[in-house]
Amino acid sequence: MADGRSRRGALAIVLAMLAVLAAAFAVELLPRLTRTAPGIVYAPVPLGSRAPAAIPLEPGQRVCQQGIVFDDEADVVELLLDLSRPLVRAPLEVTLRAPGYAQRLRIVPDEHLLRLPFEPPRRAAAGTLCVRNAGEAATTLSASADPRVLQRTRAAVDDGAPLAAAFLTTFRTRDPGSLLSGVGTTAERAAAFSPLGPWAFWLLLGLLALVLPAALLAAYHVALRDRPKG
Amino acid sequence: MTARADDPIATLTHRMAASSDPRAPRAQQPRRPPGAVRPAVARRLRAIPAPLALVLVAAVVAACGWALLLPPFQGPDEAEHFAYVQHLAETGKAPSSTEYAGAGSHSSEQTAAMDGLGLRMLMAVPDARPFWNPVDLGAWRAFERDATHRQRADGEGLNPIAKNPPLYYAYEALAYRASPDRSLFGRLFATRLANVLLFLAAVVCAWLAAAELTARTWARTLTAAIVALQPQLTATAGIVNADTLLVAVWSAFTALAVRTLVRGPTLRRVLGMSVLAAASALVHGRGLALLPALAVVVALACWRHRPPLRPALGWSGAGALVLVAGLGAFRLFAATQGGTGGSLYGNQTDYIHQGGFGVWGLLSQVWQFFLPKLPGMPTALAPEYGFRQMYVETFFGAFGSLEVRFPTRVYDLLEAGVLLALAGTVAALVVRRRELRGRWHVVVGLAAICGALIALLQLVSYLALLGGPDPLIVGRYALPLIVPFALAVAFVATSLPRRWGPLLGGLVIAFGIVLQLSGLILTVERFYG
Repeated sequence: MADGRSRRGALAIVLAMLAVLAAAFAVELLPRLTRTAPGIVYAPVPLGSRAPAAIPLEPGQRVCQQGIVFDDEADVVELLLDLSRPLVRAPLEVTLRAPGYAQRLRIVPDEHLLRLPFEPPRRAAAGTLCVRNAGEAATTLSASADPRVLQRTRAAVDDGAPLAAAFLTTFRTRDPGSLLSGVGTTAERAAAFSPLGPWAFWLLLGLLALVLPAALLAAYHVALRDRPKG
Repeated sequence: MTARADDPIATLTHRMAASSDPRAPRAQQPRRPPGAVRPAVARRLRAIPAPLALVLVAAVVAACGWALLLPPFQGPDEAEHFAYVQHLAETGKAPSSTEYAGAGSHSSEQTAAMDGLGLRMLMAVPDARPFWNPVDLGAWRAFERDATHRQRADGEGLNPIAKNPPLYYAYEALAYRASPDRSLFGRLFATRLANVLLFLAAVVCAWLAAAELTARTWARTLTAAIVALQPQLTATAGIVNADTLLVAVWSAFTALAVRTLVRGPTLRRVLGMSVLAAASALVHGRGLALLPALAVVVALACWRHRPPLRPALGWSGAGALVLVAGLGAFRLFAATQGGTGGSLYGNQTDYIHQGGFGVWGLLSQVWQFFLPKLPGMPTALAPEYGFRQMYVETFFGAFGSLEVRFPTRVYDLLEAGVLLALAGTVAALVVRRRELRGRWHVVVGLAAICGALIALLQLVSYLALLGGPDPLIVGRYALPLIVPFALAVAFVATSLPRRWGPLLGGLVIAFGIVLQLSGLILTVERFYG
């Protein structure tokens, strides 16, 4: 009789745990897994870099950054005008150039954050990103003087000497999907920095989603049914 | 075959014949199938309680999740910790903490990875991503194919982490050398996995400590599960960072201290605690806090169990010798390496000489860290950083380079939980005071372990703030107290009426699972989304 009560009690507690897990999954985890991901593919000079700086561009001036990789997954480039100044609606021409690849884009800013869709290359390639002030008023690009960024790339105005700054640049995908829909992509990206292949991340997904909660529920269930010794 | 009781040789022969002793006649040794585990090992494995084994499975999965998902060098100071390990493994010497030499803080190989793959600029910049494009990866792989031993071994300094004692790095250097995958990321992964082993030891020690205090298996399971699921601890377990060894050592000390306080001091227990205290001091300067805790625990155990005076003095002397030997060995190491100027902890303890120190200022600072300012108190030196930031936000979840955070509502819930746990512990101590009559010394011993670390952290933080704006205190530094914390929660649960205690325990475990998975999802989104 006592054993039966103890079994039912243990089962009831484990069911309560399952209910909490299910509720938390629905309220907390699932929304996080299904919300639209940021979709950042490549950020050679990311937003939020330390040592903020600014690169002024007079009318007709052009600033370029070399060593920028145009990934075949990215089809939007983001730039940022200097937020500490009022918005200047000087049209900007943005060019992306790599061997066998060229894109010329034009935008008239209506906000400080500039988003320019473009056709990505068939294969990733390293090249040069340039921004030319095609208007009649001076404008200023947000930049960074973070040494970690400058290890990689520096801006140069009108083919002059490299500056101690690089303008903020982020490449995104137009349709990022969610973490859940992009599991395969995530596995490949993570595997690039691991000695194990994407298979390990698929296995990890199963272990985290199923084995971790199951092991703990089973542990507690067995423990609840165990009678104290002594 | 029987043995005569008065024939020792026959008795020994009889026992050998009846055992699996290899000296016994071959015909009488039980045959073991090829590949079978040795009987002693199999016996030990079978002795692991099933709930603990299952908790360990969950712990392995969680910690390996962090080890795999967090990009290279993205743990707090992980780049410097790994650089120390690499230099020690490649050259047999620690890097310098005071002089620039060779390629600098990191080896040429590590620098090429960090700069070429965007891993350096990734740190603490939420909109940055590692460079996973084929162009950058191809360039890195080409570099790595031709990397020389010199390029792996030239991270000679200045590495600020090199002021740490070498125990952790020597352990990790073994994993580095043993890695079957000789790529940089393969060696890093091997060292991360070695860290996971230390974390598992902490989980086992949590179980052992609880086993000394309660016969209830569910309470032991709850204690171990809290340690296994603590998100900040599992994240730290998945990177290269000396904090995990400090947690393992303090967890082992706590388990042994509880055993000593409950069962009484013996030579083995006192020596064991002394070895762990010495090891703690050889892991990190913060580990010195275990020395006063050791003294308190030994004194309490002797006061409670009243062992004969001469043996007690002998044990204490032996323990003191172990401590002196340990610190002496480190002093010798520091002097021969030269990188720390021959001083212990590379002048980390120089904070003691910081100008402006005052006892009233320290007490006021500590008060305002935890509680609102009282009239007459000077304003705290860093008023925006206190209990919540340390014991809630960065104790439970600040991942990556501390930029990956739970939503505010989660921290609100955790803060309420921590305060309830504290209040519940005090209430339970009062309610169960009669039952605890013979065990108050255990409570005091555990409080001494916690108090010693918290006091050291607060003192160092105050001294650091006298010289600059950085409070130099973060929740990760309190992780060595994870076993006392878990014991307190289990104590509160076992103090509730019979049906409610196990239910509370179950809900705590369920919440821990959600927190763990949440932390991993946030991290994946931040680095790959």
